[in-house]
Amino acid sequence: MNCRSAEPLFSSYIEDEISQEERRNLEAHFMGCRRCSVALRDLRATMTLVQREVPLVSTSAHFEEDVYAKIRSGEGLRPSAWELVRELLLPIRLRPAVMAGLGVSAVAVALTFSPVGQSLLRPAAPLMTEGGGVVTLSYYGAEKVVPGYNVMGVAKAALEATVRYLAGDLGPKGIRVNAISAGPIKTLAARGVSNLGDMLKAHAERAPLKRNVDPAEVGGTAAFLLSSAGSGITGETIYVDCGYQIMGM
Amino acid sequence: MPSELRLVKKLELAELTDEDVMERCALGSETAFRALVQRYRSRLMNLVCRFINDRDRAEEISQEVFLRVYRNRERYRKSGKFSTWIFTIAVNLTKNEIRSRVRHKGTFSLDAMEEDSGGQGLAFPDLKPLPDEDLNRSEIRRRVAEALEKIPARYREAVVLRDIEGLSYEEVGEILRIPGGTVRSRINRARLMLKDRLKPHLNVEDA
Repeated sequence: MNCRSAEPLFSSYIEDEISQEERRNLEAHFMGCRRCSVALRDLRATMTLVQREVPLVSTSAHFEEDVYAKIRSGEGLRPSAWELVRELLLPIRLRPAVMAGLGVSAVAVALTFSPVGQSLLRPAAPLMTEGGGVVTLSYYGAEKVVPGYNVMGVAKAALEATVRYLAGDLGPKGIRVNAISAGPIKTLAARGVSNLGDMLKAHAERAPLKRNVDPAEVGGTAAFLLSSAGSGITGETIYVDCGYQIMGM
Repeated sequence: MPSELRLVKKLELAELTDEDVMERCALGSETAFRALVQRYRSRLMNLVCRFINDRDRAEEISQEVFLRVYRNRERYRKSGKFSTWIFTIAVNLTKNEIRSRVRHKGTFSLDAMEEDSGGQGLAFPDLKPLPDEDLNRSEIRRRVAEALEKIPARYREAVVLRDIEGLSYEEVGEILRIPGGTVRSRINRARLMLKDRLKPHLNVEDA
């Protein structure tokens, strides 16, 4: 037995939940390995310390009264709307990082196994029997290098290509697919980009309109693309970036 | 009900197991529910506090656990241990809390703060413990709480349930919905991490 195989058994050894053979091997190892026997002693001391010294907290004096008051008023008896939604979504509740990863792989899968439209928009197509519109959000980092945007640039490039292929596949069904390439906006999701502050500053300095884009302007463009006013546009990436992308310097 | 009779009932309740009390609660006894709140409020509060280290929020979550017990009282099945059931509810609510904290890390809503202040304008309270509170808490206790807070949540959950709540490996596995082998390895890993963090405070003699 070596240190690597001994360490996972420390707790079972202390709590005497270990087979005779494992115990013998472990004890033989402790005899020869000072590091492990010190670690075991420290582990025992840690368990005692944690059990003895963990601070105790008490509930406030009105704890019980609060509970009964909530029951009496009926407030505590109704599941909140959020609770209901959460229960409904329980099986598909995924961490944001997983969701992002899935998004990127969905694009990759869609591109690998064309026709793209059948795999990516299959769930939506039956709902759009009389044609329809799809809009996605992209960013300039899809076509030019934006420091810090990293793999998102690659994903967005795939997304913009997907938009064109989807538009091609779904066009005959009257379904239009477009992307909006918006300038940087300070949203919760955008905070994941490491140098968002620099991006916002550079954008406002260089864009012809000398400012950053307003979320309402992006919303307005999406509404236009989805409305009958945009019925002639498909497979397009439209810039809503105060003109930033036309500049050469 | 004459007060003597009520006293007798109360005494009876005190002798019953948690499961029997919960069964009465499921049949509609408010006294039984109150007895459960009294039995479990401190344990729950401490458990939740260990997980999130925020007293006020821990109190709200513990209250919510009891409300859920009350809401779902008819769904309780006596076959399982009551403590496992109530701890599972608490652990799930706490996990949601931790998840939403991670999601909203570094953000806060000015609107919500404005609302909280009742239109009195915004206040930015200093949330650090007051100097005298800090003095009263012994250094070592602070270190233990700190070490627990620093280790990853999935290890913390397992070790808190086992070493602080004193539950069996099987109960820990049931509450966290993980298999026995995983319970063991998480608890062992957690203890090793705590050992590394608490090493300077261990009272051991070097042989």
